[in-house]
Amino acid sequence: MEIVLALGIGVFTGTGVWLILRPRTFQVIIGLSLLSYAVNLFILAMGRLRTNAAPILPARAVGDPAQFTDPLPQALVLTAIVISFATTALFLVVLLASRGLTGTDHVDGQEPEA
Amino acid sequence: MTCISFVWLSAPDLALTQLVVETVTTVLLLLGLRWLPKRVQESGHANTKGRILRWYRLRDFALAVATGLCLAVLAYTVMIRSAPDSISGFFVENAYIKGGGTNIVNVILVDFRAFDTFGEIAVLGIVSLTVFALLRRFRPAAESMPVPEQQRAQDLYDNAIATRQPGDTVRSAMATPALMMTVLFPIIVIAALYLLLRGHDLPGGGFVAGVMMAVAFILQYMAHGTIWVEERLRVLPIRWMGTGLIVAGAIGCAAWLFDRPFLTSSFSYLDVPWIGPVPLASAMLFDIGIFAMVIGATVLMLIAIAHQSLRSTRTARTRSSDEPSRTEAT
Repeated sequence: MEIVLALGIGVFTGTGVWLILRPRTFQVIIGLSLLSYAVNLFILAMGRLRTNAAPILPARAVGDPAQFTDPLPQALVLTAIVISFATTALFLVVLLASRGLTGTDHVDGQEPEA
Repeated sequence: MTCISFVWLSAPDLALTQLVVETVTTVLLLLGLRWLPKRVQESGHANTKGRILRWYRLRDFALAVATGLCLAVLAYTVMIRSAPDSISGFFVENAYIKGGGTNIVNVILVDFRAFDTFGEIAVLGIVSLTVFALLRRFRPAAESMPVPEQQRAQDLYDNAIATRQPGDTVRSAMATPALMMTVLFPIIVIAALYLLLRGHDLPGGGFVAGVMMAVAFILQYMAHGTIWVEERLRVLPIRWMGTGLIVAGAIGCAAWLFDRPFLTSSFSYLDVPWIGPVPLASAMLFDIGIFAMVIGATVLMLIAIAHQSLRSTRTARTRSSDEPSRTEAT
């Protein structure tokens, strides 16, 4: 289980970094969102993996920490998901504006000299 | 895939949120893609240029693989070690006694770490206002100004046949999906409210409910177009955002009346006929604040981008109608 998730995180990161290094802005956006998936999974993994132990108390009483997966990373990732959506939106609009102003969608602001 | 692994690793809240957020992100990216150029073929590279390009690619590839491997190894080595004692135990033990909810993740968000969440919805609001402001003076690049190719083909077909009005092809192709989307609107709204209300005890909560509600609005826009929706629905995203932030802030300040620190919550259960016991924590109201804020912000961002198509066709039309008169004048 651990090795599958670790490989998944690795693949997300690798593709994310590769896309961020591309010259066109749209690929950079996709790369950033892939990287944010990788980071979210990584944060979740820091609470160790448990299956079938969703952090929801079965009764209205004091919970036993040994029974559930770690809820704290989940709470952090939940906010991170929403924030990364906002970042993607802002980045998209900034690059649309920059394309309108400079007439190109290369990250350097100019086409490479052919 | 991320969504499925969240389900697998017992994080139902994250899976729900990831699913709806991904839907909205896809719509957003597609709206943005309209204003980006098609891929330009770079041909005729000189030999040295090609070699440099290949060298760059190789370097990027090596860098990507190295980073991926490093993070995979790091994640694996951390995961096979046993977890250190963290503060999570506190949250699990006190989620019900101090926070009054059984969904621990949601209680952490709206109660123990409410100040953090308050800051986060403020960030979300700022971002969406920035998007709105940036797009108001937006001038798209010249070559993406004209009406898209596919739409032009449809218009040609519609104009060629006398009985058809421009836009008929799109309308008839979209008839069934549009009907489905219209019918879905109340269903999605109910689902969103359900998620919002049960959020304190079961998976759900303000964020996922808010984004889901935004999806309901966006579906109407996709089904019938901007003009139709705005004639019938009063979507006031900025009003939603303001209300959300004020509600959340007011709940926080209300704690001061009882000599408690900012954002302290209290809770009890209310027996509503038909629905059963509804958890009535002040954190619930805070969640409603988050809900309104998230709807407002998401809808504002998407609508701001969607309106660009309307505006650009309008400017293109006025420009083309200007041109003949100018030639006549000269």
